[in-house]
Amino acid sequence: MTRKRHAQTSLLAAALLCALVQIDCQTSEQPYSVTGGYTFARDFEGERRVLRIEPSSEQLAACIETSLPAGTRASWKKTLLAPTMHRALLDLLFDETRLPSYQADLDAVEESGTLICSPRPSEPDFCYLPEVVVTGDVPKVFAKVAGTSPPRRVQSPLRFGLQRHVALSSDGRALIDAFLDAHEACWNPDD
Amino acid sequence: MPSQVKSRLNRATTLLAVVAVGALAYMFMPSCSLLVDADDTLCFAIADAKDGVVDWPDEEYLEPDYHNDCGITENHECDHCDLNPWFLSQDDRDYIEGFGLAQGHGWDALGRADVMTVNAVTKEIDTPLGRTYNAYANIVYANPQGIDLDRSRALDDFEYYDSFLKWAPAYVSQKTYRINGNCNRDCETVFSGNCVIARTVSGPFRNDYTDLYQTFFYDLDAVWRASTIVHEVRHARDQISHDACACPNESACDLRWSSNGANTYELMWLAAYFYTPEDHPFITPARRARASALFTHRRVALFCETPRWQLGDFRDINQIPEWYVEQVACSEDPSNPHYCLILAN
Repeated sequence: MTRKRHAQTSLLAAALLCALVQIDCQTSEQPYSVTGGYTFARDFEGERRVLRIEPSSEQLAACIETSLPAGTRASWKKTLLAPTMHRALLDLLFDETRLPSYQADLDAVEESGTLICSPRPSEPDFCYLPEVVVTGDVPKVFAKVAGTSPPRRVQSPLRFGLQRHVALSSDGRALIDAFLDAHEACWNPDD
Repeated sequence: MPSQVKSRLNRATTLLAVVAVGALAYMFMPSCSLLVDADDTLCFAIADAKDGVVDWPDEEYLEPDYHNDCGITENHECDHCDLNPWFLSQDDRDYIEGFGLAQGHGWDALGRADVMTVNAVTKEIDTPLGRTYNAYANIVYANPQGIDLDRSRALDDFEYYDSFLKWAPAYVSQKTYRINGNCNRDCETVFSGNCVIARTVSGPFRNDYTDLYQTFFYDLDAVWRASTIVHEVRHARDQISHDACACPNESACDLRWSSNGANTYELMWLAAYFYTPEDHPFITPARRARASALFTHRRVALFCETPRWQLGDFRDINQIPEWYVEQVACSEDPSNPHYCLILAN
């Protein structure tokens, strides 16, 4: 009887120790990363597509396609883009003659872009702006900041509105098409 | 000799020859670790010190094609020794060490004894530890009280911490245990731009710590370094992790602003920094421009549900007490600005 109780106590102690060790080992590791490249993201018709490319076509491109709201972690695909496709996209992005068009596209989406919202049960509405956004070391375009005196313009990501009532330049459209082609090549590399 | 035995011998000899050739090829092939290490210029610089003097790497963000207002065309303000007050004062350096650097690992190799050296041409502070001081300098001196701020008071003492920028240094100080320096360049592949800047480890019954990597010291300007620290601190003692969802940032996404995670804290600090008075003694136009550029880019990249408000919505952030900041800035509904959450927890 005593031996049994002793065994039970030991078992309990061992289990407790195991649990404590496990709790101690449950660490969270949070990396903060940066990409020196360029990220194109399109939110449109309830879907998000993102493509991240680096300056060199020898580096992998990463892409994802997911429904909106993007509340679960979908997996990213990584692939090498064809150098010509990679170059074509970057050439469009950094063509200085197109910069005024990109600035006009940003101004247009800032003035006329409207949110698309849908209610969610027991949560705030989900809203998004149908647009393409390009972040990273992109050419300098500037957005107005409300409430600054004198009015201040700050560096902004490139933004292109995708709603009919938002004017979109042909240069902006060409950049979006090249981005979507590259995204398709990344997302479905075998096609 | 029977032919069967002969054939087996031949097969064994062939196999042996293949193995020998393979082993020889393997011996002369560069190893994977060697390839990965090829990117670690900071580690190499430290290992290659001559008579204890390290030739610290050049800052990559000052390269001509890096589009950055703190860059070479803007007098290197972010890391210039004349514009970082800790450079002139031991008290200031001691104050900055108190943010978790004093108990951090790896700093002896990363310039502890060399922290007062500057690049002779640019007058930039060039040691990793000095550049980390510059990051903290943005957090400390953005609040006009600077090192006179008593950062040990309770974080909910909003009578004392009466602005976000005053509260932030206390938060950073009280919520971090250890800040380590690491010379590695922890990138996805060699020469990739997708690199880890910092990594925070936390968990129950353990002291949290943050590792800072080569990218933190040499690929980022000092304002970005500072907002990175605010971000990491949220992971540290608060143990708030990122959410499992897809955003343009690829990793480190938070579901939305009201997740109140590391990205929210980072952007709040950038907004408060941007909206300081024009004549602020520390925040120069170049620094302010960096804060706004970081805010506008990261606002659209870090959340799975992009916040609806813009930088302009934070214009009053420094005019109102901290306990009220959350009510103005954290609303996700422009028509209902008092939908609030507690930031100063």
